[in-house]
Amino acid sequence: MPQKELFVAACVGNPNNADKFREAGLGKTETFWQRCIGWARIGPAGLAALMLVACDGPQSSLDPAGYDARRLADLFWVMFVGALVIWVGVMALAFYAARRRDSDPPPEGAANLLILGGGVIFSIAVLTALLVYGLLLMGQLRAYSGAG
Amino acid sequence: MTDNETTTSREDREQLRKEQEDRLLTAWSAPKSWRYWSAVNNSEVGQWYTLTALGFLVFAGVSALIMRAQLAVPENDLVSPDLYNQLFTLHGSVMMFLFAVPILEAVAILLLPELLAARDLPFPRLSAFGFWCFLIGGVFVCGSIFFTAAPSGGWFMYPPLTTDPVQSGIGADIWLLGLSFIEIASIAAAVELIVGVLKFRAPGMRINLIPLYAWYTLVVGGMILFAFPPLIAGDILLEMERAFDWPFFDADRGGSPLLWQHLFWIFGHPEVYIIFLPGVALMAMIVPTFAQRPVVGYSWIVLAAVGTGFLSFGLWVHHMYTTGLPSVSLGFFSAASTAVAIPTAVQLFAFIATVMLGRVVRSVPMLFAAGALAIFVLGGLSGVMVAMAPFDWQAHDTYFVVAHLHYVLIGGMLFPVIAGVYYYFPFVTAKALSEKVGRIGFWLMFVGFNVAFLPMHFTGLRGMPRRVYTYPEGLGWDWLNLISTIGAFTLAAGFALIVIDILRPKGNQPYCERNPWNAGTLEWLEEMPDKPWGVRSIPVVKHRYPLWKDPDFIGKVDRGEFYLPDAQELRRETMVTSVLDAEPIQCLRVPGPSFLPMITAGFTGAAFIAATFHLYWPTLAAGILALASLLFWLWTGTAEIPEKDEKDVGFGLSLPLYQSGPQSVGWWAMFITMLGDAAAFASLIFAYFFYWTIRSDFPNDVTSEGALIYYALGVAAVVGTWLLTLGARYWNLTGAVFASRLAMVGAIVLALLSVAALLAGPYVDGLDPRLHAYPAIVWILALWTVGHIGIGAIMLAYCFARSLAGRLTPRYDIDICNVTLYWHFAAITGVLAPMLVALFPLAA
Repeated sequence: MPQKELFVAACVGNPNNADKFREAGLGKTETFWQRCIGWARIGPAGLAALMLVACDGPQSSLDPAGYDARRLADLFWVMFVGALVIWVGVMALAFYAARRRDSDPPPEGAANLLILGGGVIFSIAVLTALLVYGLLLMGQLRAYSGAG
Repeated sequence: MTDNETTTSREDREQLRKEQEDRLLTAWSAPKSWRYWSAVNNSEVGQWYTLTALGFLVFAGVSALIMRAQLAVPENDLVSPDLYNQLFTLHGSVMMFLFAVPILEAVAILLLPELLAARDLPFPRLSAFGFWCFLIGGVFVCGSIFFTAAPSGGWFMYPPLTTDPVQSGIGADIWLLGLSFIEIASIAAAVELIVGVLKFRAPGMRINLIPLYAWYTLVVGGMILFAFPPLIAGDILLEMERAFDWPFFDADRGGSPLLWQHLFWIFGHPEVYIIFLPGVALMAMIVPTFAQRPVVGYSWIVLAAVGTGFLSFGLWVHHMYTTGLPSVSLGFFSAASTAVAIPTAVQLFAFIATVMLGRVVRSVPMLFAAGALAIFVLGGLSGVMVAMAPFDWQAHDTYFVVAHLHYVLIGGMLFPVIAGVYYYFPFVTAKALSEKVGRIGFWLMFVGFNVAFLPMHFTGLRGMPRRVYTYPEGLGWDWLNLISTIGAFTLAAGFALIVIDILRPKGNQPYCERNPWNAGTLEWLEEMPDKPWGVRSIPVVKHRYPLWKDPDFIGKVDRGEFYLPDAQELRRETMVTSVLDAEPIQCLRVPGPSFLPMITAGFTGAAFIAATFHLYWPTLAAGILALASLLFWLWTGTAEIPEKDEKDVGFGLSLPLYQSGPQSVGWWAMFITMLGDAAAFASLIFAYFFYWTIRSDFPNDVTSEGALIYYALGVAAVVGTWLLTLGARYWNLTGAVFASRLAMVGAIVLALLSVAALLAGPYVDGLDPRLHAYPAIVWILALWTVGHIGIGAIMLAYCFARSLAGRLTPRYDIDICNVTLYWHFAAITGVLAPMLVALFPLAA
């Protein structure tokens, strides 16, 4: 299975990761906790490697081989990063709202600002920008492939 | 001496209260032993409805687990390809039609009256009828898989796959007829709920005081009313093609398979919001309670809910981005699809703001609400991704879409529903669910869900198409699928824990205290355990959270200090109020237990099931029996003439016991039902013009002069029927009873003449519906029209009989008022449809 090999290669075969393996003391005899700490230290690198591995494949749209596919993969990555940022932002806000422990609550005006700013202004701005990007791209691709 | 008097008067009051409670109990108690199943009260029907819907959820969940087991490893042969097709078709169809929509109607039936401080819904027997239809149709559709006869064309049933007699067997008919039957029940429930919110609110509950849940119910009811009819119209066309070879979707004979896609998704996209908004509605009740403060941005939320409802009807084409539509359409529907994110974001930010301004009490319902937020926001964001037409070209029909839709539906619907189950369990059973089991269940479900569905985004991007029964090794899908399967079983384990907690006997567990969550809304007025009368006396409401505003509110209601604290005549009574300001206008007697709804549903179901197997004589027989039991039910159970004109409801207010016209709930139900009916008619007209826009050979025939005369006669007869019906109502009202009866008979005769003339039109033109989509759509429009005229004639005959029997009089005229309203709509159909089919071919 090429994927599995790639994954192992990305984690182990990569010289940087190999260093981290050694730093973390993997491969030697160590306690369970040392092992955990070791994995935690190489975790982010492993995750990034995993992400890259997750993209390849003969039918993968994230492993583009043509012009259209490349432009669409770009569109995906832009939206992916945007979505991730928005999701983390909303979760952080919700977490803050639920854990807030200071004595007096924020004024009602702040709440309305949140609804108006987050729900209306922010959404409209982001969605308009994305729509312009997406529709322009669609026009270009359809012109390029001679359709529509 | 004064002391003595006070004591006596207090004893008197206690005595009176006791007697009042006895009478209320007599009126409202559920029937005992085998007669229990004749119950129609919203508490009983709501519970049956909820449990049945949860049962179908388990069924559809198990089918998903079988699919996940099949997909765990490549080249697996656990199930055959055909069985796999049946499993995913049933999984989708059952989740949508037998779980998601019904559970929310079920919960609304359970909650709405108490939330509005009414004692029941306006048409309890209609709720019961809807429930029995749902049960019969659901068991029929689900049961088909045990005979490997289940539908296998996918939950959206695209032709030409589903019109091909070799590729699709009886399963497609089971889908079309079984689910149409349930859709009718869904519309019935929607009518019931809309009228409930409009007319059954406690006095003083003006529209700006309506609990958010009721607002959402109103919006969703309206959406069901306009979304389901296009699907029913599509079902009719598809079943006509399957059963009688009328080529609506056959491109060789002038039809178009794309018509089905349009009709299906005009239903299918609002459907997503029909499912999602009631989930938000539950959050809108739960979040303020656990933030211990009123919701922030009430008006924003209401506006956003209404806005979502409207926008959701303008997005359906985003399911059809890959069908080769022009760029202008794609651009428009991309914009509309992203725009719907705005009202959704407003609602979510309003809840976060409510939490921010309040002090959160940690609880299982809040945990599920938080999980719902995390999952749903991700689903919404991936929804924005697929709303971009160019990205959808890549993601269409891959597991990316499967992941997206499960994030939306599980985050937007399943998690809020479970939050609602934990929140409202004490409301229904007066016992609490286990906090500990709830937490464990939550984490298993939350982690399991994400493990199952997060990798699916990648599985899809790496090219795995949805609905494949297996896949080869080495495409990079192997371990992703294995992870998804592990996640799915973890999710199921968490859900199973919760189901066990719901079902475990709680005999020796103490009852909850009253208003256990310290909520502010009216449904928590109820006693623990609940009394069958719902609310002891119907309060005057001046605040959105009356239980928080007035600490003695519960006491006042209990002491019977508000309206209708008694049931002197031992009848089930509740108050009808005006639509905007909720001013009292009637004391309505709602019907009690009866087996008639169950019997009528049984015959109706038998008619549909027999039609599935093309047994047309049994279908006809069952249909006649269904009509007979319906008429018997109406005759014995509706428009009852009260023994007195008015009744004292307390506070010196006397309200009429009988109302007709726009003051009555029956008129509103007819009006709302006919709006839905008009939506179905509009869908058929849409089909007609759709063919015209895409086919050069449509219409392929010109109306002959002979046919034109018949059409003109038909239209004239319809107009005559309508005028005579108006006359019948008018003369009845003015006391000219004989003239009124004469007008009814004349109207029936004219109606029958118009039926003959309108069928003669296409007949003399020699239109053969099997040859081409044009004659087929003309015949469908003709049949639709004469069907409506025929039903109108039966209604007129009913009024005539009621008049003769003295049940329809100048003072008590609700029957003829409602039938006149029906005829307004029937006349529009009866004029528009013949004019279209007669004149358009000449103009085109």
